Amino acid sequence: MKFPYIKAAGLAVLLTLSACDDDFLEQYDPNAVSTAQYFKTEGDVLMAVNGVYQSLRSSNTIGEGSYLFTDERSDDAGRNDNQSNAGEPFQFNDFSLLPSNTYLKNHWVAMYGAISRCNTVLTNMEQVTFSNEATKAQYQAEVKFVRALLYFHLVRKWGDIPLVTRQLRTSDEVAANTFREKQEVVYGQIVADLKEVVASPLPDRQTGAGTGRVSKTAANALLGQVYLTMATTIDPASRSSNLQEAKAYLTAAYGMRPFGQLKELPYADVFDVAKEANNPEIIFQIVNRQGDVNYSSSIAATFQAKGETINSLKPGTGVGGRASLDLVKEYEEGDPRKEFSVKFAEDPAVKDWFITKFRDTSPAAGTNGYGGNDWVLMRFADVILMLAEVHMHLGEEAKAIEYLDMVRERAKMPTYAEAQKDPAYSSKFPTLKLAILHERRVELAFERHRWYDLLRFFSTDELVSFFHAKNQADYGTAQLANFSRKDRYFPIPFDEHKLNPEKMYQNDGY
Amino acid sequence: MRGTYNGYASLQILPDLFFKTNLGLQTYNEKYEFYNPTSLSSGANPPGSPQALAAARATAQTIAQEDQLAEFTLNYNRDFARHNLNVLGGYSAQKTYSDLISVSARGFQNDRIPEITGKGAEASDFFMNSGTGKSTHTLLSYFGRAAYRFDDKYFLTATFRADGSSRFGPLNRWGYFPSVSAGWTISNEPFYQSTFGTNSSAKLRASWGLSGNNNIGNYSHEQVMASPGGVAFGSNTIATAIWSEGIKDQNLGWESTSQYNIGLDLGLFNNRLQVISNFYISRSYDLLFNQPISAVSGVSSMLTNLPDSKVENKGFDIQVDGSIVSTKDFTFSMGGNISVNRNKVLDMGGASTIFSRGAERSYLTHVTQEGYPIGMFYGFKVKGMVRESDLEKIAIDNANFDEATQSFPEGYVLQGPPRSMASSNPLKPGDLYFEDVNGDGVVNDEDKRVIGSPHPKFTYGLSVRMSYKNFDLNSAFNGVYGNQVLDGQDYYIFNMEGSGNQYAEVANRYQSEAQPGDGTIYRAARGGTQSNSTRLSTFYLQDGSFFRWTNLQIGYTLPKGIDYLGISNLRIYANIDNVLTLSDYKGYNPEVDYNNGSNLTPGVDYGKYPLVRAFSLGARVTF
Repeated sequence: MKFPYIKAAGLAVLLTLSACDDDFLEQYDPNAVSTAQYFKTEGDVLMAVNGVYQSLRSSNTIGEGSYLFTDERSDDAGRNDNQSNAGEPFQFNDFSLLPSNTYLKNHWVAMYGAISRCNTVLTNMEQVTFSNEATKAQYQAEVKFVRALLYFHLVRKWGDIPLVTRQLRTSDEVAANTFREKQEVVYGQIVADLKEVVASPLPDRQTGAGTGRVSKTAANALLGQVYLTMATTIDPASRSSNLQEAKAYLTAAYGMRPFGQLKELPYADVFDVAKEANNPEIIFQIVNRQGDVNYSSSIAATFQAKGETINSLKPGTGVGGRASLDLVKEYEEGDPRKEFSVKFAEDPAVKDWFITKFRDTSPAAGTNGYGGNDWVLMRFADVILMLAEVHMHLGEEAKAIEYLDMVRERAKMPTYAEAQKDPAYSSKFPTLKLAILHERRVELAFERHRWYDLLRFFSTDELVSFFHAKNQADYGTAQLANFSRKDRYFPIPFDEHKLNPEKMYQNDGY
Repeated sequence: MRGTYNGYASLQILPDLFFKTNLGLQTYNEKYEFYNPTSLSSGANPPGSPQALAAARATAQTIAQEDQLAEFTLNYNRDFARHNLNVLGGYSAQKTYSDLISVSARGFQNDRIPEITGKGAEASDFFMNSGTGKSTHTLLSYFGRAAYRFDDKYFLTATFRADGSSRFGPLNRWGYFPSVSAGWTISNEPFYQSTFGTNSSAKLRASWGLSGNNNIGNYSHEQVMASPGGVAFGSNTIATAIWSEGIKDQNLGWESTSQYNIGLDLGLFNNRLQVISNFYISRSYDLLFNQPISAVSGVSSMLTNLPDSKVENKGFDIQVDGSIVSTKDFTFSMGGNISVNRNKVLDMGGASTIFSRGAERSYLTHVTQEGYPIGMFYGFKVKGMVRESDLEKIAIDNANFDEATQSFPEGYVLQGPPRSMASSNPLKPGDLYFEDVNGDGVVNDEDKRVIGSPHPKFTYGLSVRMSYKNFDLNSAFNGVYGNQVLDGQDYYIFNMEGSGNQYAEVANRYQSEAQPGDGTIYRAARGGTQSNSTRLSTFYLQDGSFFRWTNLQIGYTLPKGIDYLGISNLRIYANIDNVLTLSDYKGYNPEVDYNNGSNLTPGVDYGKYPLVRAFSLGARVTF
């Protein structure tokens, strides 16, 4: 084809193009907004705040599927299967964790990915004008709470960790922030953030459409837990002042409860899909939508063992969510929480205990197992037992027992004084401290508290003897003997350590 | 569907000066449809089961691509006496646009409507697939070339181009790429002809040039917000949630390669033997790669240029073609080539070693570090196999091992094989054990090393052509020597688990002290081999060398002069592709690439689809 007029047209194009070289080369993704240009209105900020909540749903952060990094690390759960996925998940409960473990790396990356979302929102919302300053303060409080929560998980698992509190835009900024900060400093940041949340205009409690968002009750409870952890794991010099702070914030959280006595609230209701949304006991939860392929909970179906129907209409195919015999034996005679939490699967391919605490057998969840179970991150029984713990540490035994009995009474168990008369109980839990730890274990089983409880109740050496004293047969295939001082912390992921071996130093023993 | 539209015009401004315009447009449209029926079983679940219904899916996808090019050149060409000068200057603008729409539907209850319209009623039964969207990239170039020739003996060419690509950040969009080359046809010199006569030719070539690489995705310099997701609040309300994607490098720019080339072309015996040889050395700078960065950035890697980095390639290619016999009835010619390339990372610009995951199970498989070629295999080196006689020594070692510090006491001399942190079960006879590189008695991540190379020592090819009267025969061969392949399939078909069919070699595994096998293949077990044996080690590397007879064709051409039905020429032939492969490789095909050409993770196999052996018969008819 040859067009005579092309010549003239060509010259015209030539001139036009040379006039706008730079425009011609400026190409921006038509299907995405640049991060630098995104934050304009209040609505934009709200959606980004929602993005922060969204990050919590992942099984690589602290969502319902994140049991590998906590419960499977403890004596409550853990798999016998040392083959699947190259045996990498097995390394967690076998205490043979290698720094190059890819699950560990994914957890690390997802946690910092979520923190980076928080920092991006906090940095960029500064330039947005809000019609009401209180709205802005609320959004800031929500995000700071989530950031503090994530750092609290990280600092307990790894010790000293990189601490970033603003958006990083260039690789130089990233490199400058790639170093492990002392855990005291990390705790300092967590406390500072949570104090702001406690003083923010957030409501005391989130109900109705707000369910799933952060409240002041949650902030007080978390801050109390942070102080309690600081008092028992770092900085012995400030132990008593930290305990006082813990008591103050936990008491404040307890004071915001929308009920009178815990015993008014049936234990099973906390996990009842139909009653979860407005359950007065729940302080903070990740909301799931029943029957929805994307936003439902899969935990009931995932944990169901082969041949069982108690959790879900979706047939189980394997061992499900394995509960350790060590935990099963921990329950006192006649504790209804045992029946509720675990069951023995008789299928010849299983013949083991599995987790039944999370159930949704409704037709709406169906055979695909799209359950409506909300993932409960914080609830009042936890706060009450932490209050017992604080008072116990402060030497206020009577007060501690009073709180402990609230939980026991609700579970229809005899009071602590009563139980102590039973030699089976008093020989197993000879001190109030061990009784509280026991109560936390059975009350909060599989709610991802156990590993952190052990870290808080025991020093590293005590922890080693605690694990070595356990009966191997009650634990499973994984070797208790592998537990050593190194297991107090996770290793820094291999390539993250290699990026800067000096500033990203490895934890001891790895 | 493809369309190509071209228009050009040229204008003679002066007798030797031309202006030329070339406008081009290429379009490409594709429609893709896919249906996964309910009558297909889903895993262990039978056809028609709720799981099979849930897995049924229809996808519809359209792709539209458009490539626009405008090129304007001025060309000056002049002969004077024995000189020739050709100068060209130009400008081009190119815009490539693509638009992908991909949607899927599920919720199928039966297979009566195998289209996206047969979807279920739920809103979530219809959704957009990732990748949907528009994308544009542009390239602007200014270029010039001056070529000078004297007496058909001396050649000199210099070029320069400036390219601007929209794929790079605003600060480093433009790259400048000069080159010079010179040639000398020695055989046209009087002294050559007086010494060697005129029945041979020789030409010497030398060049240097800089070239650029912008072969990356679009918009890689701009940090953007991800497509919105959702989060549930209250009861059953899904709120829109948005977050930022990974950090991007605003300074992203061209990767460039500087290459020196020297070549000698020879034609001997009246050009019946031709030799083309090339020696080169090239260095690449500012390599484009996904740099591992700390997770504090929110992601674990970022596409960037590795500053001050240098990667060297040097080597040579020699091609020899000979017409050995050439008579009226019989001709026989052969050709062969050999290529040798050596790659080495000279400088990483201060960046740390890059570890890459190139396998299915997200193991670290490759390492790129200074002093080594790019993308070397990385892992443990198998030192031997545990035997019953070792157990006593292992027990002594275990007694001396300090669990608390996970180490042996200072000065302790190891009795048995090194203690492996990779082994979560106690070593048993028949397990592999690894080399303890740093000699601390403990094998852990610190003892991983380069364990093999995916790069061949050399590659070669061979061709044969012969004819006798009306018969002809053509054949071609090629081969690769000296590389290794990481055979990921071994995790399925060489795992001694009995979970699937196994290589025949498993017969040589360790079975007992009485039947220790060949000493390299570990014991069979299920539920007990989570140990050294399944870690990435030299056990999984194989020699990837091969020699392949790629093609054989035999033909017969009907004698001329038989004029039948107006046929002027008829050739019938039989052809075999992929005749034979000689290789020690256990998988299907040693030419592997699980990672589709990724620089940092070459040479991994996960059962690449085997090459077909094709037999064909054909006829070529000319009327």
